[in-house]
Amino acid sequence: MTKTIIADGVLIKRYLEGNQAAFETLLKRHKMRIFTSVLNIVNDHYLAEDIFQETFVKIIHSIRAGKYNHEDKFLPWALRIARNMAIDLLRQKKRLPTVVDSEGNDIFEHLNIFDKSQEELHIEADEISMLRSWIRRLPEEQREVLVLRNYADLSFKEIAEITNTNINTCIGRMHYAVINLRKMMEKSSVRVK
Amino acid sequence: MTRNITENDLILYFYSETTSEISSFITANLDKNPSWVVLLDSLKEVKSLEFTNSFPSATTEHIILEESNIIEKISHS
Repeated sequence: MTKTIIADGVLIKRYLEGNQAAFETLLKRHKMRIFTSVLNIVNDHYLAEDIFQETFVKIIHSIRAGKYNHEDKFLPWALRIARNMAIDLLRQKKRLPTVVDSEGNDIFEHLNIFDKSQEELHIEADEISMLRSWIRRLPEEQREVLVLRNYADLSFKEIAEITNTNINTCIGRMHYAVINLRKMMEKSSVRVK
Repeated sequence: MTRNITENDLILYFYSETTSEISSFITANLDKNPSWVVLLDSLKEVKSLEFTNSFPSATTEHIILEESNIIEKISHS
């Protein structure tokens, strides 16, 4: 039996007509791609949760205000909102006073309230964890293009629109990301198929 | 084809975002251009690295769904 996939635009229309389940379907469909993209771009689980939540609150308000006019291009639209939200939250975070220890280190950097270590211990030695650490070491602009192209599967044109740049800039950033990742892979002598 | 193939062309070719004319030209001339193959192999290698899928917490999802419902209720009251 084949399952018909309802287009994002139709779900949004249904939600506007009062169908709450349509919104839940939309959230369920895109949560993994949006959350993973944000997490890989900002490298901070807490911040990613905040950005994800604020992004969807904004999405809800925009839809209800009749501002959604992107037909079935929901994902690039949502990622653009998430990116702007990330920039705003990172700016706010930078304005917050930092509490430092006697050696000048940010004490919150060392507090592991969220049980990340448990998760990280499990995957410490494997390739996935290594990829995350390589991506983390890329300059922000390269990391962003890499995640949006290879993970979120957006076109360079869509990425250029989201990041307010042009296609050539995005392609250039991707090229440098590939060069840098290859260097890191060679350094750690890991080869992938 | 009268112009040279650039690295940007090759990247767009790899992601199937180039014109059919450039795409056909690159495919037909890959054997004669080992440097193109090197870049395409690097792109392939990086693309094959798999991202770990992550999900927002149940609490975050709950807050979002509640928000979408609240607005729903207000607008229909």
